[in-house]
Amino acid sequence: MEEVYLYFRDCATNALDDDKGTSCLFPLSAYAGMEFSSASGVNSVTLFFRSMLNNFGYDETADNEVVSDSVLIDLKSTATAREFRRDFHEAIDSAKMKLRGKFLVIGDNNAEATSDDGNTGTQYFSTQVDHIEAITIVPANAE
Amino acid sequence: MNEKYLYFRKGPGLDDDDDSGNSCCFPLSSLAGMHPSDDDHLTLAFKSMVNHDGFTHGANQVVISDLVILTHAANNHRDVMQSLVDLFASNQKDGMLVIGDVVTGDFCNGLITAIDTITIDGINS
Repeated sequence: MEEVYLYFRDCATNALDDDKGTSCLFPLSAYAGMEFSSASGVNSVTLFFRSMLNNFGYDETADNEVVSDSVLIDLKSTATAREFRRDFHEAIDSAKMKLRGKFLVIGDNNAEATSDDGNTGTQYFSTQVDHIEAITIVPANAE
Repeated sequence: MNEKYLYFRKGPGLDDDDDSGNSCCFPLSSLAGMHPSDDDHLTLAFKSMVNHDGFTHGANQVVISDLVILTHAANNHRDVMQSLVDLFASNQKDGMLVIGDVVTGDFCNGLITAIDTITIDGINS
């Protein structure tokens, strides 16, 4: 089975897309799990991934560690954790079955983005998603 | 499913191809992810080649990812990422996918113009 790749972008224009906090791509095999939270009335889900820059890493320096990268997704006010989980797993299963289409856009806040169907605008894999709130790629540890 | 291998060569000349900072080849299964570095550079991260499945008890030592930074047309990160994923899924006869070879001028798509940097982190001792 070919790998599936998950894409995220949290900025609103192409010009703003210029560092590891604005967009990223993870192989599905790096996916570690999700957790839900609710703060200030916003339902959110955090997806965790094996560290991109400390992949299978180890650190012997004082007070350092190897932790997961994460993507915080804000959901619509009507969304539920169960519905999000269902849509997420269905989207992954669907991408796995495709001969091509292994590039799965989980969320793209960029209003200038053009999707495969030729439409321009923000793009989310599920109607449960409101926007990508934050991308955290943990920097590489240093000796 | 046979493994695929990603090849990168920075050049510019054939005689420059003599250390780990000039060319490299990673199995696709070692790809850890991609992220933009600035407007026209995309970083590809890979599981460490020389500390593979590594562990260290040496003082202040770490095991981190190797990096290849591609130069591409400005503000096209998503298009470059998507084209790479399409290439990974393509049915190539040859398992070695040339992502960029500055010496021969071969690039896997028209957006990528150079291999900016190859960083194979040194082996722990």
